[in-house]
Amino acid sequence: MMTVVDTDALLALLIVADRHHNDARSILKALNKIGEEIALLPTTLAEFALVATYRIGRVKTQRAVEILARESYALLQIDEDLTLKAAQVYLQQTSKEESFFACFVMAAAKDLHASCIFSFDQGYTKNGFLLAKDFLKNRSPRKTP
Amino acid sequence: MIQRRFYLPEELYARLKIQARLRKTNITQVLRELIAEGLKQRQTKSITTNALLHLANTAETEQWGKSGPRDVAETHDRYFAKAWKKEHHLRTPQKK
Repeated sequence: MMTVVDTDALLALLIVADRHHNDARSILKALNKIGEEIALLPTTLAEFALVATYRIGRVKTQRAVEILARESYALLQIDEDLTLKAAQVYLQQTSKEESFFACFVMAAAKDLHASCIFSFDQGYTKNGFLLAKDFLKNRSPRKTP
Repeated sequence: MIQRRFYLPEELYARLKIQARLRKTNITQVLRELIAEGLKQRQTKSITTNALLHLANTAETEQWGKSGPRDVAETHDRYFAKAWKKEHHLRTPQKK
């Protein structure tokens, strides 16, 4: 199954001081354990690169981008269809919290029938998407009373 | 529209018929939708979590961003706007 990764999760993974860093690592390990694949949008990569350059520096960001882009199956394609779908999602938003970047993530997640979005942004939950943390929680076997 | 002749295994054809019946449409329509979906999946590129894990481990080992703010992930939109302004400022020639 497929998980769409968002900018905040990438930043949390790579910035050790970030308050979501440990959670992000645990979630990624859990996703890895169950064989999830990660889908990444070029818009997410661009957003990540700009913020990361100012937070961890250009050289480290370039290393990260190189690894993410080098993976032969790293990027989703943004075509007219996905852009129109993202625009539709964007037009439905009532808060300025959800950026067009986030709408691309939601459109891609819907299109791919993704199992979840790897992010900490509750805005996705409000839009009916499952965050990776909740997806993993739902999957974990419940203890019998 | 292009007309081509294809050979399908009987079992696959039977499954297609069921799909068409379930969706109250014809086999051609089901085929078109499935082909479009399949092609999109093929174009879709994904990475296994291994590459990302490797990257996260490198960040951990080398302590990337260890002294920075703790809210970058959560408020990355704000950091993005700030960074964008800085970039723009760098690229815009200053008025004398």
